[in-house]
Amino acid sequence: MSQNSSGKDDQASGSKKPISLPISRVRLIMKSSPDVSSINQDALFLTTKATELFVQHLALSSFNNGSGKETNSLSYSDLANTAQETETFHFLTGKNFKGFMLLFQIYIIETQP
Amino acid sequence: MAERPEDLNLPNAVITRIIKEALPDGVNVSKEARRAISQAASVFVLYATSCANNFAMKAKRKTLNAGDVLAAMEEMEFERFLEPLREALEVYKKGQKGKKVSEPKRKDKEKKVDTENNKSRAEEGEDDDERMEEEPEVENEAEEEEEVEN
Repeated sequence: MSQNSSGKDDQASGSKKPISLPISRVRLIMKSSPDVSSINQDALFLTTKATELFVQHLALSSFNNGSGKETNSLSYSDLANTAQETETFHFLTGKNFKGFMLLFQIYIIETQP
Repeated sequence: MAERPEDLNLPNAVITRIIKEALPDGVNVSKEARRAISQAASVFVLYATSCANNFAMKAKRKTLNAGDVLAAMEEMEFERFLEPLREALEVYKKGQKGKKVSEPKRKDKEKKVDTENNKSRAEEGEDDDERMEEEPEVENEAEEEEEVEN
């Protein structure tokens, strides 16, 4: 299953490629944010990489926090619970003002004709 | 500007792979969990962009730069990302330098080819994201069309 046998020991992420997510897609999302005019190349790379780190962090935190350890699974409720309980993930829940504004922003974008 | 709702989503296959690499072997990840993580990732991008943009605006710059993104991570309480991000950026910049030497099709009206010079250029508010002709090689492998998983 693991695709990276030799690169693991000398790189922190354990992957030969710097990033897997497409930068162009991340840029599209960033550009939909109000008030953003332009983004330099390094900032684009860093945001993409940070998103990958975030996905790893969210998945692993939810798995460790959840009940799936016995069943060796990760379910939606593990994620929802972790987001509710962990302050750094509160922006996902709309719990605080920032989170609410983000979800609202997505709603506006997605409901545009 | 995103024209369709799908444009805000990240490719499912890549998200799935990143999740699998983060978890112990053999963990079963439900479809709903995968979708939720993918959506969370999009929200994360927006949150990071918004935070980074605040830093840029404070500095009266129109272009987001690397420092803004790193400052945003700290603000969002993801300090754990800072070191891997800095390391990855170093590797990325070295890779970009190598590419630029061999690629002649750069538009260089007033823009220098050097990445170091690009930093100071970026702060003058030029529209830098149009220079992203060079996608990393992973683009061809990783970018997949949205699978309709309904």
